[in-house]
Amino acid sequence: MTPDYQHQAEEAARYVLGQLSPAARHAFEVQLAQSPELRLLVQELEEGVEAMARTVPQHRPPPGTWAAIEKEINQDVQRKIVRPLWSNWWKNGWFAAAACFLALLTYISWPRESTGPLAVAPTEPASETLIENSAQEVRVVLPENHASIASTVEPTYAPPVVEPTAELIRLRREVGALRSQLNDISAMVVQQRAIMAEPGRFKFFPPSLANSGENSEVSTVTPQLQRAIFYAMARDMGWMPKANPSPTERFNAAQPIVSTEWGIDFVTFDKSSSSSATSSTMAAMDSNNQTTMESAEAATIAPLSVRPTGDGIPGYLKKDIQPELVLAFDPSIISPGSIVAFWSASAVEGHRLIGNVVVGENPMVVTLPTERIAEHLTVTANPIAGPSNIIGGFQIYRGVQLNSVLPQSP
Amino acid sequence: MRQVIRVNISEKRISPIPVQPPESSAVSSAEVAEDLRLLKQIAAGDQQAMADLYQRRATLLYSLLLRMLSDPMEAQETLQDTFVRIWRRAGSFDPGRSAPLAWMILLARGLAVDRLRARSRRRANLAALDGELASLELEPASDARELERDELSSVCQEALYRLPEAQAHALQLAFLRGWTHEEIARAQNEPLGTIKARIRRGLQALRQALKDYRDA
Repeated sequence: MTPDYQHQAEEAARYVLGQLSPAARHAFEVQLAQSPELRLLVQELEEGVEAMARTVPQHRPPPGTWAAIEKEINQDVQRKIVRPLWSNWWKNGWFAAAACFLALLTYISWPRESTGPLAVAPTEPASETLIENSAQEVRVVLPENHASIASTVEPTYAPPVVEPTAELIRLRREVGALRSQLNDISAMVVQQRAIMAEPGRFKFFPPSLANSGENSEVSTVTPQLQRAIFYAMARDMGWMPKANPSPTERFNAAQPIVSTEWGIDFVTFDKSSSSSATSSTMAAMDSNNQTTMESAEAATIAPLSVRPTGDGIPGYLKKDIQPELVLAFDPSIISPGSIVAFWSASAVEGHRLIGNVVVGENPMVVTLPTERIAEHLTVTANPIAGPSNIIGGFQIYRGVQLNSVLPQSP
Repeated sequence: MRQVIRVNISEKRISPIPVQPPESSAVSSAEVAEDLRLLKQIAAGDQQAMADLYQRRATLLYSLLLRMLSDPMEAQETLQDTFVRIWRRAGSFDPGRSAPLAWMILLARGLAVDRLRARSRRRANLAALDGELASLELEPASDARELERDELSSVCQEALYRLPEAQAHALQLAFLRGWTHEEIARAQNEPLGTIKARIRRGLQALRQALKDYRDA
């Protein structure tokens, strides 16, 4: 036996008994693969191991050993059933499905304005950011005080850009809507300023209304009414002092401010006063009027103009910071002793009583704040004898409705 | 002709087969061929072949593990680990390099040695040597009664007894207790080369006895 063979045989014995270090074991296996004699020697030693194992007394394994082994094997089988589904997912169509899904996600989230540059709202006033989006490149151009960066990147870098871009598009749309609303409000303000800047503070109604039709009659304004209107204008202009108002028994519980000056009854409904009219009052009205008495909030926008819609009640619109409608009555319009009621009306909210007053012998001037009139002012008369009827109406034309330009709730 | 029963585990549980001691007279190439066939079927996922292999080799492997570990519960756990490892590694078994039974024995022994080394750091001195040798003389406690020794086992044991005592002790310490050659040399106060030669020659002597029995 040569020393080399003896050394190899001893290394083989250590190899069989698992006593070699990992490095020595690897080196020995290399020799084992190249040497049939060494393989034969190892096999002989392994047979010696088998013989050594047979020298021990024989005992049966305890019951239940196989059941435990079988259970663990079954778990292994279950794992093997699941594993190929993942390990070969690219073979059975999952890859294609995943690719289609990713492509769909990219298409959905990709900005639609793909043909042109996409402007992104700057985060700073001085900064300017432009993202050009194309199929092959994404360019980011920074403002002049920054170093310009124009780099071509792989399309795979595009998806991270998509999400912020979609968010920016949404924000841009919101900003655009807000800008549009701001423009509307600005136009309304300009309009209101123009109204207030009109020459003359008074907007007169025609002294009479021309009824449509050949048989329509032209109402005339009696000298008493002209005088009453003149005095009312003088008071509003400050040419004549206003007397201290005192309650009069001619007025009902609506509690308007009343005063009698120069033989004229001045009735002023305060903008904050509330109507005390009851439903019973309105029940006395002619049912043909088809008015529904429902509460309505007074408008708060200054009127652009007022147009009479019924028989003539002379008067004017006093354009001021708080515009008022001034109407004049005398026996030529309504008989003394009749109850005159003023209703704010709107198509949506119906009619709401502003107040009422009993007409006396003197000409009467009634001042109504326009803010208590929604869209239309209806004037009804309930004479002592005879049915109630509508004696006049005034359509209020206002500026741009604020609620039409307010931001829509999301 | 052997009837192979394939059982679908999802429908029917494999029935545990009572372990019988291997036949003693027909050990030879036919027995090796049967082990090879079962290992191939196990590599293909045949669980019935696994049950058959357990029937054939569980007693031998469990007896070895019980002898090595001297603890029936630990031996049982190691036997379970051994067969699960056989199930998982059957596909990598190379019949050109090892005999099937030797491969399974070395697999079980390796797991047992790992447990032995995990128990405590062994001190390779004369007292430890005497203790280990004394334990080798004792029969490990077991609930199962010792089976009647078959002819092949008797042949192998006789071959071990014929070995010089120092050689038999070195071989038993290395194989059954997992001592390294260096530890044995230090404990017996012998040169490392002497221990290496004793162990190698002891294995070759046992192998020769086995071969003579099979060739006879």
